[in-house]
Amino acid sequence: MLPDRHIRDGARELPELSRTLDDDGVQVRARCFSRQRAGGAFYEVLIDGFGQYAVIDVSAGSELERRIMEAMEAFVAAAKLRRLAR
Amino acid sequence: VGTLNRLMPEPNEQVEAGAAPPTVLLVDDEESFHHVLGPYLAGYRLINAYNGWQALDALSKRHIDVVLLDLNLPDTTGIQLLEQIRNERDDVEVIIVTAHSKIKNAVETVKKGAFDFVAKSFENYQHIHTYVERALEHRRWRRDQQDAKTRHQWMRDAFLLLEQSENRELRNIIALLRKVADTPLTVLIEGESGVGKEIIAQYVHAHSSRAGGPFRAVNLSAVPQALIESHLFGHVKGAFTGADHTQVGKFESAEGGTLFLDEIGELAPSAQVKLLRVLQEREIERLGAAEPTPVDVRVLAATNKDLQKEVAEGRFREDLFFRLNVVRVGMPPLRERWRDIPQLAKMLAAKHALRMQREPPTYSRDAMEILVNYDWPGNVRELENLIMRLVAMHPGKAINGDDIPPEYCLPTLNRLAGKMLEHGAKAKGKETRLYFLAREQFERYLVRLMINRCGGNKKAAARALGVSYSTVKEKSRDYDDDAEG
Repeated sequence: MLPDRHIRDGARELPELSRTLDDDGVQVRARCFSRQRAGGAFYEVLIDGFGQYAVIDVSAGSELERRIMEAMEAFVAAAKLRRLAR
Repeated sequence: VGTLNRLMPEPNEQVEAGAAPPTVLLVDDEESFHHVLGPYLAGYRLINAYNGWQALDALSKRHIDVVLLDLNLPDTTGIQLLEQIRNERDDVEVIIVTAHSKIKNAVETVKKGAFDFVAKSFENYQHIHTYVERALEHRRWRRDQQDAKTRHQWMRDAFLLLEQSENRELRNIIALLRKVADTPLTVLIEGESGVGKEIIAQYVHAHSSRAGGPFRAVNLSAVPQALIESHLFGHVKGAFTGADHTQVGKFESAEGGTLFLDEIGELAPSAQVKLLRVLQEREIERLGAAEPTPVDVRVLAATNKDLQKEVAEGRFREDLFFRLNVVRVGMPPLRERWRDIPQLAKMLAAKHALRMQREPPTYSRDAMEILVNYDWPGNVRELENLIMRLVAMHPGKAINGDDIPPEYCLPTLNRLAGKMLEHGAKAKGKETRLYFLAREQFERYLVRLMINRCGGNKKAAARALGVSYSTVKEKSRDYDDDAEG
């Protein structure tokens, strides 16, 4: 699965930064991975819910907590709109 | 006196060879002045007029860029003519060329809208080319300003329509985009061609803190695959054969702002890798460059393809899709937001009327019914193309049903037939009559359409339809009653 591939590719999971959001019984999870790249340290946040994955990239030093919540809420809202439109 | 009173049916015209040079209208009652100034205006298309009447006639019939206007004319004054030109034509620059070069005259004419005031002297004749070029430059600037104003007005109206759409799904999408506008999140806009994905991207940009920065849009399906990387990321001199100078790509030109990548599903695999890298590391690599360049650009993307399917079939990178999948919204097609069509049609008419400097047309009830009933497979773009044609052909007039091309009327006919079928089923309860009733309804509609098109002439309508006059009379009976009622 996708997170396993991340770990295999050299990303290190940071379980303490994981977040879960419950939306009317639908679980949405954000898992945070740190990765070293040429430009420095980065976080990759993997959002998983509604049968979909999304990834945001956050550079070290950014407000990670806020970025994760912001992305999770937007991800949930967009997924719900798509579900309504079907 | 003979010169002053001379009336010429058409102004003299000297046409220079070459491709569409700017046109200068020289208005002066003295023939000798035309002879003196003419050679200094070589390179322009020159039209000569000797009085106000000829000048106005030329302005109404020909394309004029710059008017060189004397203050003394036999049938009017230069000031009155200037006022008339200013009232009727906003796209012409006027330079006053006069022997009455008092400061008072200069101030008055400039106040009334002249671009410049030039005294008649040989020294000035030698520089008349410079004065005309300055006027042309000023006109280009005014046009740019006008275009920007039109665009700004259109965007404001379009944003308001999106926010107040009659379609709940669209209102919800807009509310979500408003919330995420001021975040760095990538947005993917899905939707059929022509639904207005770019205006949605502009909405996001305009409501973000990047609004003061540039908004750049790239239609990836319109850029040849071989050039796409250079187009997006730029190249350094010598990067490839023909790269004779360093070129900044779209990413760098959108620095501090937003880059809208339309038709992202068309992106070649090699460019997908590079785009992924930009989204991950916020830096680009110009083709041929040794070092990456950091960029601060918010990316918005759009597609009319099912990107998930493209991923499943191996044509689109999964890791890139995940980065576009955070905020993925689907724009409804125009046929699903048909309640917005009346307002949209009015706005588009106003937009194009302003661009064409004409009065916007209005829509009769039956014209609007046709627009609302049509399915619009080409969405807003198709509606806009039709309205552009209607504005050009019927400026300031009421558009009737028969002004709209017949291909747009068929769904209205279908709907009428449907209503008739429903009515027939309820009233008679005999399904065997439904075919007859629907056919009858279609025939009546067709006859009515043709009578309208023939300006009410039933005989002409009968000829055009290839039926007898009595058939047309019979089929239009209810319509005549309606018209009289």
